[in-house]
Amino acid sequence: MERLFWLSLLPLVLLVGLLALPLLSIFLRVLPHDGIWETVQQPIVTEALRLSFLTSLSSTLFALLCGTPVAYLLARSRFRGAALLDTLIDLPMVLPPTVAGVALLMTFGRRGILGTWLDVVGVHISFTPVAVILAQSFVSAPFYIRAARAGFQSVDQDLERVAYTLGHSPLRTFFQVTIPLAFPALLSGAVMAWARALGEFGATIMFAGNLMGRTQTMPLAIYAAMESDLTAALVLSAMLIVVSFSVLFGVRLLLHRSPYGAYA
Amino acid sequence: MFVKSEKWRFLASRVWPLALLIMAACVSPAWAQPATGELVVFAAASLTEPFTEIGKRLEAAHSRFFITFNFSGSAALRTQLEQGAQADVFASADDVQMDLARKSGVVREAAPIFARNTLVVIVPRDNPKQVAEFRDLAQPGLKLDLAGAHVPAGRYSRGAIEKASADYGADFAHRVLRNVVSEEDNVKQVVAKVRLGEVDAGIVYTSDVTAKIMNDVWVTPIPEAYNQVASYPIAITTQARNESAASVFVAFVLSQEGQAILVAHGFRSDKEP
Repeated sequence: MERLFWLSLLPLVLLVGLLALPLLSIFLRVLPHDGIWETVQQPIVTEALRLSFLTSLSSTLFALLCGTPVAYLLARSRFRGAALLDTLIDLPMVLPPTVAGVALLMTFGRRGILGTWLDVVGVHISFTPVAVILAQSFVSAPFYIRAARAGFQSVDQDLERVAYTLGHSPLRTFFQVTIPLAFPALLSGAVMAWARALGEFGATIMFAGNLMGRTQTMPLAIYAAMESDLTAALVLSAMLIVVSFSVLFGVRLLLHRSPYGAYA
Repeated sequence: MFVKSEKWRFLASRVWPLALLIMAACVSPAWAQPATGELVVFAAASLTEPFTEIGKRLEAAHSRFFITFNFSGSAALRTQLEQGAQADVFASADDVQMDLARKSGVVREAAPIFARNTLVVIVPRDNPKQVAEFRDLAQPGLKLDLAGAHVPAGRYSRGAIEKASADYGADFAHRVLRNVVSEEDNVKQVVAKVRLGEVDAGIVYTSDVTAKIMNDVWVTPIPEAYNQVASYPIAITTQARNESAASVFVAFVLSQEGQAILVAHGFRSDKEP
């Protein structure tokens, strides 16, 4: 046992170094900097924060509303094409976001398959915050659906059957038995989807464009600031790291303390 | 406004290299010197077509000579150089980015201007907003795509809009800039968005209207009085690994043959008769 520990020490050091050192180096560059507070108050930072917050929450909400029934369906019923649907849902996780960007342009762009019709009725999606939400949903919803499906699969169906025998309707059973039992998986899936949406870059810059206060989310602002204002890029990066780490860590603690500890 | 030392630096950066080149040209064309190995050239996105052709020409003229290009926004390239990217030559679309590169010590002093460019408005072929002249960019509801203010094309575009405000009304600039739907990282992305029909108009360089995109866009000129002249400086980097090839490349760009290629791609040459 002890030998195994020593053997795994070097890989551990390497991995922690690779993951932690670059993140740490951002803080080492930012903290001694003068005028951090002034930078935080710049519109490029505040607007990006506001926009990222709103769009990532919207796309997570979208994933919850549409993803939950789909995940339940995939977990519980066997039907023709389930494997196909499963693969389709996994696809955005492996596709480069730039592919998502091109695909969304070809669909919702002004001359896209749907965009042409939307244009006729006066609905324009590209270059609006809606486009940002669409891009984020495309790449992040699969993270939630996958976790939720696994969560529903782990729920003991006998407990649902007991609820039926006690006279609960299927809908009531779903909300009062299945959801609470699958909750840890649903929560961590939603957090993963949210984190992925917050970090979305490639699909957003291609499909939604890059305009401060409208479509320039935090990752886009970091990219733009790298060439003009390195401090702003560093401050925004540091903020993203802090926020993402706290949320992931917080959820972990929450699940650990709850009776669902085993899931965390 | 020139301080004496700045003036000297200006003279040194512009006149010296040219003088040297002319002297070299008297002996033999400098670009005919042997060049081998790999050369890495960082060049403004707007130089994509002429530099690709120049690269092919040079590779054909020398054996075992390969040129790798990195075309992007001048600001992005300058940042990459400052972060330690390996390149032998840097060609920028304005003096601002070249000066910043020089200040951070990534390029050498000598940076002769090798080409000039002007701006035009392009609109998708079906011209949904009926843009017929420059002032039409101010019409409400038009979707305008510009290069970001941090890249040369974006800076020049805003310069032209500001200048036109003197004639088109003080709020012209405000009305046009209100129509901007996206700020691209380099000018070629503006071309792409207009070609796709995603926006109603964009401001790009004259040289960006290549034969390839002629079928997809209409060109509306920007009046000479407001138009901005983009100047392209070229310099060898301080970290150049293939110095001889770098000077061959720069010499060829400045040579009559190189200038002819640039002119054929819609650039202006100072050496034109």
